[in-house]
Amino acid sequence: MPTVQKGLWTIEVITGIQPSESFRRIHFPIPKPSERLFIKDSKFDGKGMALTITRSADGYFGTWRGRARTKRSAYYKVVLGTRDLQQSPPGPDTTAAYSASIRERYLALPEFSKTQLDALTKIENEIVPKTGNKTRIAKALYYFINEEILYNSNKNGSKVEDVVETLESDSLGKSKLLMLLCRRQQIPARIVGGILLRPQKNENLKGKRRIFYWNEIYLNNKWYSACPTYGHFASLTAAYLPLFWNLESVKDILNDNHAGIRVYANKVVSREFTINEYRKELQESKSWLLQFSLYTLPMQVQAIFKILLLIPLGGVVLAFFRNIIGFRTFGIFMPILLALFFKESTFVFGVSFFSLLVALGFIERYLLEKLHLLAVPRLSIILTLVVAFLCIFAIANQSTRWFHNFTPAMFPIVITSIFIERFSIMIVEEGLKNTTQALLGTLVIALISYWLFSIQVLQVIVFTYPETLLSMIAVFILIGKYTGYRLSEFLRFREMLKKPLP
Amino acid sequence: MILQRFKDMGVLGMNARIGKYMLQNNHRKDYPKVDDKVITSDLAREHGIPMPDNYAVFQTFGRLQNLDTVLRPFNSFVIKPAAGSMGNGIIVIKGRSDDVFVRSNNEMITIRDLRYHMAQILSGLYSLSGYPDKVIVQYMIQLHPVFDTIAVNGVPDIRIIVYRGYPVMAMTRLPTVESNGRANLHQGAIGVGIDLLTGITRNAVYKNKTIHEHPDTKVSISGIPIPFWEQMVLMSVKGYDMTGLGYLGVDIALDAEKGPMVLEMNARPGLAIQIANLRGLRKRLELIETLPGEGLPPEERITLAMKTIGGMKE
Repeated sequence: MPTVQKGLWTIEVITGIQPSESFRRIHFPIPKPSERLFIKDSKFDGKGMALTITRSADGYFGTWRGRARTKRSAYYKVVLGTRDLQQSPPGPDTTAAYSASIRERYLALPEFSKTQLDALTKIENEIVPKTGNKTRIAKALYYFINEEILYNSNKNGSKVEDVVETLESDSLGKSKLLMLLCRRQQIPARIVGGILLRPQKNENLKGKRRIFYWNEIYLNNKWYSACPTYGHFASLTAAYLPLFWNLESVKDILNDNHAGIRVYANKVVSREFTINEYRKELQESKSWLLQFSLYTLPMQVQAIFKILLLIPLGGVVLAFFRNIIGFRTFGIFMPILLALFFKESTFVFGVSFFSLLVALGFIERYLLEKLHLLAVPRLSIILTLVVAFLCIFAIANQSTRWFHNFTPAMFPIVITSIFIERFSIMIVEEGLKNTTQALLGTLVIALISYWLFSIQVLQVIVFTYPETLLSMIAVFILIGKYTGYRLSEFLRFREMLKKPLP
Repeated sequence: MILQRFKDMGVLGMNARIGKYMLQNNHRKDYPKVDDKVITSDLAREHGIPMPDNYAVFQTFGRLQNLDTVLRPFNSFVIKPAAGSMGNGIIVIKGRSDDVFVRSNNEMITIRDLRYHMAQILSGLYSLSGYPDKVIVQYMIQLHPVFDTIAVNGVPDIRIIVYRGYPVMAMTRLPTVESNGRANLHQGAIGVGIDLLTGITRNAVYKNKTIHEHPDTKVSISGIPIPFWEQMVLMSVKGYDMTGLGYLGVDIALDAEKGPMVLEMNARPGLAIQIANLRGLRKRLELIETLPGEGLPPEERITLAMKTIGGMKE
C-alpha cells in the first residue's frame, strides 16, 4: 500500500531549450550531496543531448551538450531527502588574513557608485559595533537585515541602494546586502541559491518553485549558514535545498541565451520503500504490465493524470445518486465538472465564485429576455459577460489578493453559460421547486465528488494501480443493470400505498 | 415493508422502465418517428390514424418574415416545436384581432412576440436534444362538451400505454388554472385513471395527492365515460404498427367536431399513470408478455388484452 513518505522529495530541473543550429553547452544546477542532503535516485532525459556533470566550488552542474534544432525540454530528476542543520555557535573570530583564493572569491567587492556607497556607509555607521570581533559584527549585520528589511517576494532587490532606501526586498536582495556588508568588514561571505521544500498552497503550480536565496558566512575557518529572510543563524531547517553558491542568478549559470530553467519539487508519494527501489523492482520483474507504471512519466504529466484518474470516480458517485437514490441534476456531467473546478481552485473559492457567477448570469438572462434575441447570440452574450466578469475579478483580486491561486483557464466558462441558460429556462417551465431540487442535486453530488477527490490515499491508490479503472467499469455495469426502485420513488409513489389491499 | 407493498402492486420504477422495457423494446432507429412530430403526422396519414391538420411547418428563420401572411386565414391555431417534450414551448391561440392574438389563458400576444417565440423554437430551445428544431402551426382542438366542466383553460389529453401492440393502461390529464391550460402533471394538471375496459374515469391525482373533484370547478371527476373510447384504444394500438415501438405512450385529444385525434406519440412515457390509476404497470406488462408477439391484427390484440387485463386481480 503506497503512503505519503515523510522527508523525501522529487526535484526536477527542466531546461527549456529554444532551437538553434549551433553546437551548444547548456549548464544547469543540480543538488550536491552533503551531510544534510542524501540523494536516493536520479534520472535524466536530454531529449537527444548528452549529459556531463561538473563538480565545482560553486556547486554541482549538469551540462547538456549537443544540437537542438527543435524546441525541447530536457529534464534531470532527483529523489532526495534533507535534514535539519544545527551548527555549534561560532566563537569570537579575530582572523586577520585569508588565503588568496578566499580573498579572491569571497571578499571581492564590485565598484560602487556614490549613492550605493552612501547607502552602505549609512547602515554601517548605525549598526556595526565599534569594538568587537568578526563574529559579533556578522551577527549584528545579520540581525539588522533579518529584522529591519521587510521580506517581499515580489520586490526586486538587485539594487542595493533601493533595498536600503525602501527597507523592503526579496530574498536575493536581502542576502546580497548581507554578503556585501560582511565583505566590507573583511568577513568572507557568499550567497546560496536554492529552493525551499515546503508544501505548496497553490496546487496549480504543480510544484514549480522560485529560486530562494540565503547566505553562508566564513567564521573561524568554517562556513556558517544564515538566512536573513526567515531568521536562521548557524542553523537551517530541512526545507533548505541549496543548488548553487556565490552566483546571483540562474542566468549566470546557463551559458546560453536561448534556454531557461524551471525547478519543480514535489513530495514523494510511493510505496513504503523509495522510488529507486520501486523502479528496480519494476525493471527486474521484466513484466510489461509492471513497467506500465504512471510513475515513469514526468512530474507535470503525473500531476495531470492524478486528476484525470479521479474523474471516473466522480462518475461512480453520479451514477449512484442518479440511478439508485434518484437525484435530479442539471445536465449529466455538470456535477463532475463542478467538482473538478472546486478541486482546481479551492473549495470556498469554487463555491462562492460559482454562485456569484450564476446569480450574475441569472439577472442578465432576465434583462436579455426583453431584447428578443435569438438563442445563440443571447447565449454568447452570457458567455461574454462571464469572461468580462472573470477579467474584472482577476484585476480586483490582483490588488486585494482574496484568492492567491486564481487560474481562470481552469474555469469552465462555456459550461457556466450553458448552466445559466438551462437554469433560467427550467425556472420558467418547471417552477422554482423542481429547479431548486435539480440545483441541490447537482451541488450535493459535486460536493461529495469533491470530497472524494480530496482524499489523498484514494488519489494514490488509483494512480499507483490504474487498473482500478477496470473495477470502476464493473461498478458502472452493476449500476447500469440495476432495475430496482430508486429511493426517491418510494416518495413519489407513496400515494399508491393508500389503496386498500385486495 | 414498503418495498414489498410496491412489488405486490407491481409498481414500475424508472430504472426498470428504461432497462427492462424501453431499451429492450424500443429501437433507436424508431425514435425519430415519434420525436419529430412532422414525421409522426406524415406516418399517421399513411396508417389512417387521424391527427390535427398542420397548417404550416417552419424550418428556417427566413420564412418567419412572412408569418402574418401564413397566419392570415386562421383565427385559432397551436404553435408547437416538432421535437418538443412535456408540452414545453406550446402556445395555443384561440382568437385574434389583426396583429394581436389571444392565448388560451386569455393573455394577449403580438405577432412580434409570436415570431420571437418561434425563432426560439427553431434555435432548439425546446427540443429534446437541443438541436435546431422545426415549428408546427396546427389546427386547434375544440374542447368536447364532455370536458366542459372538468377542463380549465385548455384541452385534456388521453394517454394510453401500448406494450408490444397491446393496450395496457390509460389516463386522462385535465388542465387546471395552475397548469395554465397545459395537460402536464408536474405543472399542476390533474391525472385521472381510466378503466381500460370501459373507458370510465376513476381515481384522480393532483400534485401527487388523491382528489375526487376538480380543484377549480369542484365538479366530480370520477365515473365519467369517455366518448369514442373503443376508437381511441384502436388508434393507440395502431400506433405500434406505425412506429414499431414496443413500449409506447399515445396521446389522444377529443375534438368537438372531428372526434378523437392523436396529438403525439411518446417513446418514453412517464410513470405517473400508475398513481392516477392506483395500479402498477409491471404486472400488466408481464401478463402481456405471455400473449402472442407478432402477426395479430389490432382488433384481435385489443380483445386479447382486454380479456387478460380484465381477468387480473389488482
